[in-house]
Amino acid sequence: MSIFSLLSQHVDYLSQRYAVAAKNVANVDTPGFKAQKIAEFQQTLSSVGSFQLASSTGQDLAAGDSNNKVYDVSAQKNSEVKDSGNDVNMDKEMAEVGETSRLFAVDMNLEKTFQRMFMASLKG
Amino acid sequence: MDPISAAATTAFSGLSAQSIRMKVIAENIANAQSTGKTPGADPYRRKLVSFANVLDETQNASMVQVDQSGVDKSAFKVEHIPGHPAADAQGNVKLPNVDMIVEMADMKEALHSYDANLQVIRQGREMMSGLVDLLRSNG
Repeated sequence: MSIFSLLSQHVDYLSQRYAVAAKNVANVDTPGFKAQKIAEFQQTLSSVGSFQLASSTGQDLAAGDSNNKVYDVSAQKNSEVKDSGNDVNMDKEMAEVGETSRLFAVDMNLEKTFQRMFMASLKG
Repeated sequence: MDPISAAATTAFSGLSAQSIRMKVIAENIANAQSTGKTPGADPYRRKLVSFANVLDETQNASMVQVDQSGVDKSAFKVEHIPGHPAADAQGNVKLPNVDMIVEMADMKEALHSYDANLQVIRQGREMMSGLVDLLRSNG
């Protein structure tokens, strides 16, 4: 069952990543605004440390509790800064939004596939 | 509030910020020839918008706030039109400090930012519908 928990954590991560990109795009003309980025998923996963696919035991239900984790957001520190002090790179952000959306679709397909496998094993 | 909805709120605030900017640009273009009525009176002064990033506490979403009070303080253009109602004793008329090329470039930029926000909303909706599809395929 742990794969479902992992997927839902990843979906949660992606939606937060999407929110950060949306904030950057909306503030593309805000003077002094610094573009932000979210921490990597793998990093945050290993720092949580409670998650291993190989040893799936009774702790899976407990792992579901960490779904509401808020990921670290830091400045992108882009080298190209406009005169207004704003350093949002529009192309980068649009690519980010597209990438997040694509990964989200992959997650949805994975979830569907695993659900089908799970149901197939139940029905025999 | 989940991050996807919060992101949509952010993108919508970006949309409205850009449309207000567009409105001000339209105002500037429409008034590019608006002079004063009395001799020596000041003509229309070019308006400016400025954006700021604020946090909406109730929705925990970042929003773009527009300040429309700014004006362009650069000097007016002066032309010699003696018969004009706004002409001073020397026959000079002050014309607005609106530069059409600047306004056009500004308009294009506003349009691009608007499109970008629209794209963010579109992708968010796609993600949401993918999520809802999970429930549908389960039946």
